[in-house]
Amino acid sequence: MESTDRRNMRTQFQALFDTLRDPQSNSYLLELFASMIVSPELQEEWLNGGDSNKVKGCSQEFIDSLPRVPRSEIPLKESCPICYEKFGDDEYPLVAELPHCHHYFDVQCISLWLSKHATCPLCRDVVNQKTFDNIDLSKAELEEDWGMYS
Amino acid sequence: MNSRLLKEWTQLNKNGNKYYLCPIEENDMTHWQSEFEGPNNSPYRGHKFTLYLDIPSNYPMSPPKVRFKPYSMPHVNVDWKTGAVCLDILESMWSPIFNLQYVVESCLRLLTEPNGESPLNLELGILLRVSDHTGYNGLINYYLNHPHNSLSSK
Repeated sequence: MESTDRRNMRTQFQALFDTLRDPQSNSYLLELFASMIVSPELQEEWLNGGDSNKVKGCSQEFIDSLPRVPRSEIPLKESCPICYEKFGDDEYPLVAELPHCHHYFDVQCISLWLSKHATCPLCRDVVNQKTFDNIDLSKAELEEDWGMYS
Repeated sequence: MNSRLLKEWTQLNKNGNKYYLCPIEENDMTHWQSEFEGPNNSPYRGHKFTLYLDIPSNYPMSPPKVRFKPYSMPHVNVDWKTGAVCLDILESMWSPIFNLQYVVESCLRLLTEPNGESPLNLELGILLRVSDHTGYNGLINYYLNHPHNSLSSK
């Protein structure tokens, strides 16, 4: 099958899936439908996806570029908020610091999370969004439907 | 990531585990349950409830799937038949820093703070919306005392 066909079909399935997600409809049908046609990964993605204006995960480039906390500055007695393991329990701890909010996480844990989401698990700061300092305000007037104000 | 569950389990046992949160079977960390009493300042006081938590393989990146025992929880945000719970932190507002105890506490909080915005139980949802407190509490009481032969809620 051509890849565009496949993509179209997938979109149609997803639309159908979204209709079935309506809490008033039959959840049994939804599960049956999902288990028959959709791979487990996609099922999860669609079920967790929520609204169409959802924020997607961060790019791999962004995740790879997160600043690493130098070994001497890692708070060894504190734990990664995701896996609850003490940073110091790992012989070679790899700790990442998020931009803006400066929260610390194990590189491995936060990478997994950010591949599907774009928010800090602790404060929900949108990590890959530009801060106000970086935005050219002279152009703001031209963009009336700028998402930031919605 | 499953060591996270072991850590939670150890922590629960150390801190008294007041919601009796535990794996249903000894060697299976993917199915948990919790038991608690209805809060005093709610129409559920004096009744005991069981909550089931199914843990996905990628927990805590995805939230547990949570439901009350079927036909046991008459609540605006709970499907009477399946026991499914509608709660934002179990969907779009999930964060991997949450743990199972926090999930149980959030479900308990839902008992004192029902959310009329997203009803799964339409009868209760309507009564809550029109602020008919007598009818609302009365219907909950009816459900609680007639769990199996009550109205078939959609």
